[in-house]
Amino acid sequence: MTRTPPKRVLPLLIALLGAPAFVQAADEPPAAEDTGASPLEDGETPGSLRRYAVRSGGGCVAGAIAGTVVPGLGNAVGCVIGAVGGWLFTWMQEPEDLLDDDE
Amino acid sequence: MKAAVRFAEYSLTGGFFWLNVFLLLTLLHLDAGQGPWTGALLELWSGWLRRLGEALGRAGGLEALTTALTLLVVFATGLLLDLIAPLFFAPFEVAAFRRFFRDPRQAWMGELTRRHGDYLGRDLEDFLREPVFSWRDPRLAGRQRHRYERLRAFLLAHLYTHAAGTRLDELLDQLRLVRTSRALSLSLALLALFLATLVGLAEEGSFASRYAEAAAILIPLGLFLLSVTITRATFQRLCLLLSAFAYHICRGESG
Repeated sequence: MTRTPPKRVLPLLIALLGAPAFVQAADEPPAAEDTGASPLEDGETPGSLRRYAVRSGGGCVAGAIAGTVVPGLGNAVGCVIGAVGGWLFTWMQEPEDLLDDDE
Repeated sequence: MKAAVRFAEYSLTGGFFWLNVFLLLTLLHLDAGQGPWTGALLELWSGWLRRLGEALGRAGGLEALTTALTLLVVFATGLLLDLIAPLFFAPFEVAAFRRFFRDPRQAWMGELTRRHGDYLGRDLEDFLREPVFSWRDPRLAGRQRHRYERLRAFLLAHLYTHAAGTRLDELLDQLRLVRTSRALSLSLALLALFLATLVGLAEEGSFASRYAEAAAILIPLGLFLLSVTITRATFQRLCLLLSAFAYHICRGESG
């Protein structure tokens, strides 16, 4: 008999998705934001990494809530879609921000 | 249900929803950077009240109409929440109902449904045998929900019909509580959804610190989990009561 997936999968997935980004963001020294130091690669600042993490986290939670209407893995799928949406939204805005930074 | 009770329920749930909207608007307009946040909060609210008073003063004599319209909006919101909440929380209810009646101690339900097989058919057996959702058959969720609604309606109708002399007040209270808590939970879930969406679309520098960023994600998540917990807890109590009443009436019939 097939068992339904446990609802505990939602917090676990959120923790898995959100935790690395937050830990990485929290590990960055605060002063790095002001100096514009680039710990990852050219053009990517800790500020932008935090923006990715926050927007993806918000998108993940929003998607998980909206996914409630779908039984089964609705919450988890919603969380992933929301997180990817948040990441894409930030990524699409990134060139404008970089231009602003250059100015 | 008496009209007064219904009015009270819808007013409560509709009022709670608008309270959430008010808090959300406060969060959006609050400029905590101005100074102590309590001062900024009071200044914001007093500004809103002043502008509302001015608008009502300009309207002159329309206070009664405004009050009536406000009550109507609150009542209509409560009604809408009550209509939408079962759709939103249906997956939790179906899963909780199925889990409850899969307990071997609830095997007596089979006896009851067999006796009324002309109405229920194999609804109970299929409901308990099949999962709530399957990727192979996406329409299964709809069928399971339909079965759940038929079984629940049957149990309630059975109780109402055969509970001669039995006081069902406790059960009716629990039914009302489930409906109200479900609507309130939907308000909380909608607030959480708005908040999380705002976080997802937030501009750079919207949050004062990393703690604020973490709180902006954890608060909506906490609100959502709270709403789900409230709904599940009240629904499980309803299942317990429904089954206990139905069991005694069923045993009374066969005895």
